[in-house]
Amino acid sequence: MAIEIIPKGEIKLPFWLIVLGVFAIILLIGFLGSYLYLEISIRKMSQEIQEKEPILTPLIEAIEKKEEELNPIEKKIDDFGELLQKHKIPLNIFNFLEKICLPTVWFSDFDFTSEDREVIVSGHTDTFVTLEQQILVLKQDPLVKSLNISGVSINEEGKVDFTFLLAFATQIFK
Amino acid sequence: MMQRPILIIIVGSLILLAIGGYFLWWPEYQEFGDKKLEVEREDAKIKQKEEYFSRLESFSDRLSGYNDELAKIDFALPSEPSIAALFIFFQKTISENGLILKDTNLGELFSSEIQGTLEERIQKMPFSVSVTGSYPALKNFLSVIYRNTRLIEVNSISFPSAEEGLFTFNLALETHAYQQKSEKKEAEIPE
Repeated sequence: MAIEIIPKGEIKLPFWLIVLGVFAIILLIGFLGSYLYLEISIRKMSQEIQEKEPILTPLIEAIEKKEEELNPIEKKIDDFGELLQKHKIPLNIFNFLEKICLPTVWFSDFDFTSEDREVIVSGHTDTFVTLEQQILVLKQDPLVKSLNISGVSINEEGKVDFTFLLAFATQIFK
Repeated sequence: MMQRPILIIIVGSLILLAIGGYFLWWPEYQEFGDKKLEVEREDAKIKQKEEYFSRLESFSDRLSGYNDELAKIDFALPSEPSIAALFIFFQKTISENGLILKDTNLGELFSSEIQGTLEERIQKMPFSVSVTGSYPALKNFLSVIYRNTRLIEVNSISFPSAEEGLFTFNLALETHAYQQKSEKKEAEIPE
């Protein structure tokens, strides 16, 4: 009996199956390739972050050192500026009183307190009319915030004694 | 008949790819994104700190050009004020302006209790002086005090009526001492 070898017929795959197979292979290559890329990049970036630490630490230390050196100076300059702004010129009070004092008015006892910007000044003048004029001059001046008059009397010499309590605006010291 | 196992292999591979994509690839991708952001943040942080440090350096350089002014500030606000120097200054200024020193109360300055709380860096040091002289002499004296770099404040001035043009002026004055505290300005360090 003769043995005959039957030749195998070519396997014919449908086109859609080939497309699907190629698609699966491309997807697999893409998956593995991108996974590898991500893994390498993550390792690289982790190393990069670790390498930045030694740069940052001395920089922070240098900043702190510089700040420790500069902050007290800055504060002192600021404090000095504030103090300088509050620095008052008491001389202005005298200049003001000299300027507004009428020729026939004499100031004598003087009491000035810087905190309240108040002056208690006693004095005398010839007549009530002059006193009234002096009061008017004071009241019209914008540097005078308030004016209180007390102790108005006629002394032994026939002159008019008075006491003013003057409260000044802050601009008086500028 | 051969189509079936091939199809099963392809579909199985696709399912495995989807599962692998969800459980392996996606977390890896997210970690990648996080790391990228972290690197960017670190870079920005270093850049910001470098800029801040360079600003501090330039401020420090500029400040070194104002040594005279800083010395004046140190003189106005000394951390260890010399009461003797202050007394000598007053004695000199009073006599130079034609006044006579009648009485001083600098004792308050020697007392250990300097006014002002610990929180306050500027500490007030009050004292009083009583002088005799003319009204113009007082004005000159006040002018010198005002211009003095020690920043002496005149808190009050009082004087009664003059006898033969000579007044007795009572002045309450105040000078300052500075208490420097070493404290870090942490809030201003940029993050």
